[in-house]
Amino acid sequence: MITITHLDKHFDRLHVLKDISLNVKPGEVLVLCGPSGSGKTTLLRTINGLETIDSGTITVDGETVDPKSREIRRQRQGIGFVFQQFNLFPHLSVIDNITLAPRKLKGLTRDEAEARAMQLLDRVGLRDKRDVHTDTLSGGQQQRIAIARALAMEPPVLLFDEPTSALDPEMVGEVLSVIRELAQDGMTMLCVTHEMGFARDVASRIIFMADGRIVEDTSPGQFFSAPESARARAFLQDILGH
Amino acid sequence: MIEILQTYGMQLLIGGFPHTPLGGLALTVILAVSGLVLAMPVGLLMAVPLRSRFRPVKALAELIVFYIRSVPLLLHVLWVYFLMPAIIGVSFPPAITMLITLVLFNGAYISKIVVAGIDALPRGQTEAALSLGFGRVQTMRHIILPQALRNMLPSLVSQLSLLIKETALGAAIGATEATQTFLDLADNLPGQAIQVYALLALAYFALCYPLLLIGRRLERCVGKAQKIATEPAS
Amino acid sequence: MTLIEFLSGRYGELLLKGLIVTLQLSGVTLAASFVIGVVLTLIRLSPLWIVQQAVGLLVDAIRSVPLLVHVIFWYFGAPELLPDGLRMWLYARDVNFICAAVAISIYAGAFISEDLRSGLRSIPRGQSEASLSLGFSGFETFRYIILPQAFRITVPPLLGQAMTLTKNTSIALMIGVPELVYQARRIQDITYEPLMPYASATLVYVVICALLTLASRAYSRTALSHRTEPERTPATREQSA
Ligand SMILES: Nc1ncnc2c1ncn2[C@@H]1O[C@H](COP(=O)(O)OP(=O)(O)OP(=O)(O)O)[C@@H](O)[C@H]1O
Ligand SMILES: [Mg+2]
Repeated sequence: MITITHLDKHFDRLHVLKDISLNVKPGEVLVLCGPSGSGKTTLLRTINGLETIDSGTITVDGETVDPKSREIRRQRQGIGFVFQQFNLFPHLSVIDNITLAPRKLKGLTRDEAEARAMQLLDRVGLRDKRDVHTDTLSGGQQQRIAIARALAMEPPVLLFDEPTSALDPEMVGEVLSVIRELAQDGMTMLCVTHEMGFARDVASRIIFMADGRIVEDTSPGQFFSAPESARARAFLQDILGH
Repeated sequence: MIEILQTYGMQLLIGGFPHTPLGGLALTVILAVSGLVLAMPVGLLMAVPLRSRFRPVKALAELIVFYIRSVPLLLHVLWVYFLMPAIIGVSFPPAITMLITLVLFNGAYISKIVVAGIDALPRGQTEAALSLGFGRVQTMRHIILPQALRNMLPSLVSQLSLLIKETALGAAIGATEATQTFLDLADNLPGQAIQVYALLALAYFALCYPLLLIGRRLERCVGKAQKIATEPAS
Repeated sequence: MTLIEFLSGRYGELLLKGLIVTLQLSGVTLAASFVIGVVLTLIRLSPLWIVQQAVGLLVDAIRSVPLLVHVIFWYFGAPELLPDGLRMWLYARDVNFICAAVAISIYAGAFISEDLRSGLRSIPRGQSEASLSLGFSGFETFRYIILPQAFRITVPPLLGQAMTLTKNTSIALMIGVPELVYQARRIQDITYEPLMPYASATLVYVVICALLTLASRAYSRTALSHRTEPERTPATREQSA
């Protein structure tokens, strides 16, 4: 589904992604974790074509992703992205946030798009918020709408960048359970998160990054019981140990 | 003052109309409103090269806007009044001259407001749109511009009151807007000139002060909305 | 005739005279309007609600009337209201210049007081609370904590006001003050040729504004560089005609 080979990326002189290779099969859920600054966000953004790369290749569904090509807009429609800060469109109501892209980009009529949006609102449990303004929603609700917005384009792949780290603790659960259900439905997903309980339950594989490299790529069982690298052990100790 | 209003009120309001072209306060308001309406598209158009990623285009646009903003409006008025006819061979009546000048002058200022409004939006808005598959132009049209224009609303209201004040310079080339009309009346009523000037000031106050208050109120609303949009409840 | 030839002759001399008057008028009114602005702001800091409101309304009223109307009022109207002695004194001097200066100073002063006030208000409450909690008095807090921060924020808008004020002095031509644009117009009346005089005057304003813009940028770069929040973009015009 997603194949990354020998990917390198610099921000000026900072080498943020070093020789990344990764293969994601359909229906897999990958959890990316690692210390701050290790390049997780950057990796996700390159897959969506939001960052250029220096060398290597990224293919999604067999097609090369290149931010400078003409195909990038169509390709992005097939790669959903959920941001840490939600980035809902504040000038639009909830329903318009969800239907804008299908209407403008897929040529759906308003009725078609809204019917589909209502199903999605059901799925994220916010049917009654249909016409409210986004700024009246709680963080957890905003993030659930953001997920619905990404799903509205019916992408085969979803990318999540720390979807719960801007939320108050009591709202983390509602967002994670939506993602959990998506996983059960067989959605292919890449999720950066530090919610280790969620990772253990949902992930098919854990990707541990440090200093721009993939240090471990293993099953959750293996990762949590017997991490191979010292860095992963230290990371787990920091995050679980206290 | 009441007496002056009773006798000359109509003249102050519409000038010598219908015997002469429309003048007085009516002309002031028409010039200001149509000036703003026409300056909006000019400002939006000028914002395009100002945000161009092609250096020379951006530099040229900046230069033009800088030129317009660094020369006194009065001097612009004189340029358009005396030099436009020489250059393009057509001369316009004073009121039209005033309108052309106001549109270009305010267009330059509005273009800067537009650019500032666009740049003030969080980057996440553009990225969210791009990640859904919108192109640059579509992102601008559906996501960025609607928000930028909403945030600009208070500035545009202030812009209207600026335009109302700027029309007074029409008196320099004999456009019979409010100031010119009141000045003419003051000449005809030597003993009561000071009352006429006071009325003139009051008239502008009555037009501009409400706009000032509306602008402030809008600023507060937009400011609040903006805050919520950029700092999501966490 | 080239611009150089034009400027080196008699007309160049007239324009130079005009430029000097423009600079004099700008200098005098800049100083006076700053004082007026500070005084208005200080009065507005009064704890009395009614005083705040009254000064606020006065400032708004001044800003709501075109500068040209202020100038007309002070030149044609106000002297009538003066006692005879004072009026004689005034007319014995450069009455046009004085009246224009008074009008411009009051007008710009109102705008400057708004800038100063919003500068003061932009300092977060936490600053004065922190200062008070350290044991500073209210006055000391204002003097050592609030004012220095507010001043730094207010310098760029004040330079913007200086720019607008310089441009606005051209309105004094309407009551016959022989400033730059007045002289350009006069030359046009003599030669029937508008291009050279207006181009020269325009050039002068562009140069003045370029200098003030550079000063403002340099200031923002050095003095404001450590501030984390973005500086206010001076996109809207504060004064205008
Ligand atoms: N646009 C940018 N320009 C320059 N440097 C950047 C940019 N974006 C990220 N970086 C740097 O690249 C490195 C990797 O950043 P990235 O955001 O990918 O890390 P991350 O693993 O997502 O960290 P976190 O857990 O804090 O979100 C960091 O050192 C960061 O400072
Ligand atoms: Mg990150």
